[in-house]
Amino acid sequence: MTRAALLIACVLATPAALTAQAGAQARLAGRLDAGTATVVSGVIDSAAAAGVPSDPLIAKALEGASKHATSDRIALAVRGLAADLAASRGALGRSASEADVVAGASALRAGASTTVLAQIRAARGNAPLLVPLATLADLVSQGIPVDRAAATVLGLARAGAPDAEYRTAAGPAARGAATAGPDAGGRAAPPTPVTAPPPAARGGRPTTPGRPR
Amino acid sequence: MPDELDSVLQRAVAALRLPVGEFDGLDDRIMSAVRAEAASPRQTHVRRWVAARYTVRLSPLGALAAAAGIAAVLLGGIWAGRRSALSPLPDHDFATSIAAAAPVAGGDAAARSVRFEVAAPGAAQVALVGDFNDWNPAATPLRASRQHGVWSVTVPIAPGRHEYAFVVDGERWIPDPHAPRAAAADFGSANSVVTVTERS
Repeated sequence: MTRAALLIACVLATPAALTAQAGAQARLAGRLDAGTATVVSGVIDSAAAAGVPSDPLIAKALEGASKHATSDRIALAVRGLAADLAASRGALGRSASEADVVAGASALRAGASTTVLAQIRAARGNAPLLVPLATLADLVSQGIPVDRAAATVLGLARAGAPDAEYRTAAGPAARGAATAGPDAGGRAAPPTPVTAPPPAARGGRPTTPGRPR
Repeated sequence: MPDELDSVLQRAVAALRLPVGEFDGLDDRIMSAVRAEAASPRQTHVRRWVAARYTVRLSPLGALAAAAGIAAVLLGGIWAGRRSALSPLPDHDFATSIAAAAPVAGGDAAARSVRFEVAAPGAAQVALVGDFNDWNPAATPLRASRQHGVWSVTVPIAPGRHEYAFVVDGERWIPDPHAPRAAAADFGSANSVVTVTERS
């Protein structure tokens, strides 16, 4: 790349980066106090420079705001997620999409290692990684030992299994739990009724079922 | 006095001379007891065998072998339980976060239509919050159906792995128990996860 081409690329990229930064600050400004917004913006800027997507970090900060978390706790959570996203990006490579990187971070948070992520990346080639990584995270988060879940997903990836087979590998519930939306004619399983929350459950402890379909 | 004694003796002799059948029910009671005893000789033997005392004599080596055998049986049972808990993946009843969502007509070409449902019969309002709506409880209210207090909403969501929850009556945050939980609960209450793919 010539210096002229590099200069042109920088000139073109700078407004886009500034626009994204301004958008992030605007989304944070209305929901966080000024101090927290400044800290979170700093974390987001540093992460973006390392190729980490900003949207999940903004969303994490806003989640904390909606749950009335303290400033310190919000900053801690955003930093932690930024570290996981950076590790995921490093394991999956620069070509990985934002969705892949987020799914990889979920798998890391569930207990998978960056080595496993890199192995899945290598096994899948250029194919999207969202479904294998999501399956890995789902399995581990439901109590399957990491090694066992990783072996299952890696086996499917190395066999060139299509995405639909990952759902099957995740068990019989996979076929019924995630049915299509109304446009696809999905069938609904009856949701479990919400019962009156116990006193201790008020304020955020989960007791209720629902279903994404 | 001798006359009185004679009369007493006479009454006693007369009583003793009565036939046995004169005692009401005596025969029946005796025979029924005899039949009961004769009907269960095996039970009697069993009772005696169980109640009998036995002395088991073991050499130290024999005792060690017996203890090892008992331990092996117990450990085998425990290990079998663990194997059952870790049986092959397809035997488990897993929930997947992967939603086979439908494409959204118009709007964002990449977004997919995902339907969320929750049963909250006593709720006055239910909202969907997640990273796709900036966790804003006012952004995505659910609508109540007329039956069983089921609340639902269909929203366009970009492909990816998303965290979400329901907010009941503006104060109670609850995850979706039919969906996998997010690994980290950074702010105390757990989130659910939905994975939206580009092709379903």
